[in-house]
Amino acid sequence: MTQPPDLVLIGCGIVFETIASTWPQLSQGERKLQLIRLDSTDDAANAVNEQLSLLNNTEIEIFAAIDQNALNFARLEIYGQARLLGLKSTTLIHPSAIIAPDSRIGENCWIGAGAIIASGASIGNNTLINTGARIDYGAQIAANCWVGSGASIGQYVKVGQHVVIGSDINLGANITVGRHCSIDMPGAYLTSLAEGTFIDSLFPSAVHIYTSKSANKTMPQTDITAKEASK
Amino acid sequence: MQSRMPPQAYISQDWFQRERELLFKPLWQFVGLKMMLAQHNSFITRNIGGIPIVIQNFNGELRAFENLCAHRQNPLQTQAHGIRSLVCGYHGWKYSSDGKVENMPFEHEVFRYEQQERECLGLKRFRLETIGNLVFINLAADSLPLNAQFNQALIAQLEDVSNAFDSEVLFTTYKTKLNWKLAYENLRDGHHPRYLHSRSLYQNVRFQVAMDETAIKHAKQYHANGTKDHQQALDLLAGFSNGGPDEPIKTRESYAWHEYVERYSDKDWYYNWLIFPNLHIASGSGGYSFIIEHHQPVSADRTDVMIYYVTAKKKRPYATSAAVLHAHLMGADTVLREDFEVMENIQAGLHSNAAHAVLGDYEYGISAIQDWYMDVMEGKVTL
Repeated sequence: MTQPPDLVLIGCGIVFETIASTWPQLSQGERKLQLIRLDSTDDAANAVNEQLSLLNNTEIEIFAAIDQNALNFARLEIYGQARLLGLKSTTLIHPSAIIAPDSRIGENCWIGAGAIIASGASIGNNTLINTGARIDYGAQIAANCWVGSGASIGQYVKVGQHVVIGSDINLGANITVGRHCSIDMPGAYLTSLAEGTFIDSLFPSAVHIYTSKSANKTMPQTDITAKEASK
Repeated sequence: MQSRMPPQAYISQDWFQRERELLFKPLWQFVGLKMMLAQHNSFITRNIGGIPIVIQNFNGELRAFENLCAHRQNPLQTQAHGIRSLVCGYHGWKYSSDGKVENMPFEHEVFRYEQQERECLGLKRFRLETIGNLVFINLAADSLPLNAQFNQALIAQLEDVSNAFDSEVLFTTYKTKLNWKLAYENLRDGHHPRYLHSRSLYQNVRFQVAMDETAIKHAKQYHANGTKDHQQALDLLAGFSNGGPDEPIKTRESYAWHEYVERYSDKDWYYNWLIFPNLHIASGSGGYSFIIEHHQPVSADRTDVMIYYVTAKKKRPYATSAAVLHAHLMGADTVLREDFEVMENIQAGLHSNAAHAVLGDYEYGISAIQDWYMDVMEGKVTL
């Protein structure tokens, strides 16, 4: 039987430390773990470039583990850099997580302890699902996202790229969360959120990023033209 | 010297109402950024001086109207920003760029207005001017020209800097418990950052007070004599708005995204524009990014601080632009909250018998504005 490749864990933060400390359970003693611990997430790709270029892609797999910094772009920098160098990335699933067999999970994903991924759900590359989170039937979470501990994503919810869903957030069924959103105020969200929306306890009014493109996409379609109304 | 501003100027709702009429109505007021109004039918809504306003793009022309349908006064646009033609959702009345009712569904079947009455139906329109990407409106029918409120040199600078703004805009509102005048006074106080922002902004920008002896002398003379005539009042008003490079930045951070934008300037300076009465534009990154801060009075003791963050114009789209704006928001939030906390404490402590402020020489700029303001409020100057 072929020995599975060793894992090089690169990054810092909660997920990094969790993986490092639970590695014996995750690997079941079959794989070795090498750590590249970063002091900061600034310019992460350059910080690890030299070390990455020395790795042999046939002997190891990598896992980029940086939390939600900069809408998950900091983690993407390392993951992307590793892929450009031809390194393979893996997905790590805590043994206590429950994963439906027909769900789809990309690479460089982390599914934390007690998390539930329901039937028909899909998780894009480089997305971290934290302890006890629940992804319901048919929900689609795009690449480069973060789902905090205890959060729940309702059935058929669509979450765009580079979204941060904080701990104990509940997204109601069938809504859409546009890309580049950050929801960090615990509670239930039952309506769709336009891309570039930041909801944070620091800011009582939601923060929005406006682009001419996003304005087109997000405005309610209530424009009854007089011509139509006359019919 | 003792300030002429009584505590009532900050706490009295009657005073606030009078201020709206005497000061805000005749002055040009910032309402938003042109980049948010770039497409046909794009709009923003604001409440200016207690009046709901819609600014709408009609095939490239920006128009400002009262945001109330002429029929039953239902707001025409209900979102803060969007793209939608100017149609009332209540009964489907549609308005054209001149504010007239362009289409009234079932007009002849159910409304049956007399011709004269029908012709009078329309929206109240307000004057609108732009300086680069900054949009201003004026609520008065017969108002000052914009170039009387701001001098030509400043207009040229504002045009230049705002044309450097990128079209991706992060926008949020802080609902603060303070009178709007505390905000402009705070911004014109160059001595507070070393104490209030000692662990934030001051670490990187060593703000120095400018002891301009000639200006101090003029401010004292003005304090003693008051406004001579209308022309002097206008000259002073134009002088209240100014800006440009303020202080050198100690260590300018370099980020990868800097390569992707057209920097406004090549100087590592903190840029600062104070635009009277209630707009502030700054760049703490030497022209790579900007904060636009609009202090919108809501009542005597409430101000909505509307914040726009933009980077300099992108050379090309880059993936992390939303994260860059988000990081700016989080960074500036610390400094803003330090200011809000002090101003809200001052506001909370004010009462009708509170003492007047006692201004030092370095506060000559605040003193001149306060003296001018009091002459306006006491009817000695009409704008």
